[in-house]
Amino acid sequence: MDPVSRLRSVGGRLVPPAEAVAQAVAERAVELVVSALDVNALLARVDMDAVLDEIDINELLGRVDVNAVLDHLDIGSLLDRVDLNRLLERVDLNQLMARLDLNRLLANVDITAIVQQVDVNQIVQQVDVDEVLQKVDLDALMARLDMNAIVQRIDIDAVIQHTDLGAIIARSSGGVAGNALDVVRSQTVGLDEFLARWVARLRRRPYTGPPGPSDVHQALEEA
Amino acid sequence: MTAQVGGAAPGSTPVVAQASLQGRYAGFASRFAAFALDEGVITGVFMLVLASASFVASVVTGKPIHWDRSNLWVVLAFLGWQFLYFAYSWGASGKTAGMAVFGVRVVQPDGTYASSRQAVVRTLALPLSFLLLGLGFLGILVGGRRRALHDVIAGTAVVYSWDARAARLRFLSRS
Repeated sequence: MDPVSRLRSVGGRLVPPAEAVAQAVAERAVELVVSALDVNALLARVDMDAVLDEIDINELLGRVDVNAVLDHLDIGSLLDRVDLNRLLERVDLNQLMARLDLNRLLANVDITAIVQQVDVNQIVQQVDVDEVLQKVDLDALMARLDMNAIVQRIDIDAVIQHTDLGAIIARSSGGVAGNALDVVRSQTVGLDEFLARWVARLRRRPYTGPPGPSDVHQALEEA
Repeated sequence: MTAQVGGAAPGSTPVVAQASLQGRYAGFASRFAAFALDEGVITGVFMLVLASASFVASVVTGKPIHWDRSNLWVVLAFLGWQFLYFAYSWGASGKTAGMAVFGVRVVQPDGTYASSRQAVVRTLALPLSFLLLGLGFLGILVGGRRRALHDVIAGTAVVYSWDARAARLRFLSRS
């Protein structure tokens, strides 16, 4: 028998147990070393800034396929976990709004398209107009109105035509002579009608009051 | 106070108060009262002017002068004054002093002011209504448009220019 072959067979039998022993020894040694190590002290010795300076973050990020990462993300469930109220409590909205350039923002917004989508009637039906009006400072509003400009827009002639001037005149103060004149005229008109009624009775015709075409009435009013 | 017109039930608002009466044909009483007042004004003014003229003439001539109705010139002056009074009043404003007091006025059938020509014709035709034994005024009582003979001749009508409803409201506001 070849002596080399014999040695190989002996070696083949001894190697597996030896490897197992070596593995156990190594694990134990590592365990002892790790337990003996003060990781915090070790990290404290590391100059993280220098380490980060050595790393090219952009290149690192360039290697990352963000889309693939996002594809694996369930944004919905992620957002479900977010407590928005708590988040918003930590946000200073005033400061945020102060940073916003609203004019620039609004310049990009198609207000007309938005308004066309709004059902104004439905909104108005939900509005408590009385409550809104109670909040309005009418004095301040009136102070901002240019009454002269408004009055100039009014068609005075049309207003007068629709005004019961008779009632207005009635409220105005009348003198004693005016009162007497009203009495005299009223009495005379009463006499007119008395005579007219009797004449109609003699003629056996119905009497319905003083006659008069409407055109005469209108012409007199216009005059 | 407001006159009550036929058809108004007792206690209800008189018809006169309900309607303004403006533009309605004026009745006999109003027109006669206005005419009587005008005659009073005409006569009064004429007598005053006549007395003044007599006084001035007496002072100027140094003789007492008495003009009365028997004098032809006085009659002519009186007629001329009457013509002037009525024609001018009707032509200028459609109403004399008496008509203004009683709230009536002369208009054309369409309600516009009577023209000067119509005023003159009406004034000249006015005596005709008297000369026919007063029959010329019968149209005021029985006519549909309450026109007297001189109205028909001149093409005019007389309407109320007074707002009875406003008078009623004035009365209510005072009471």
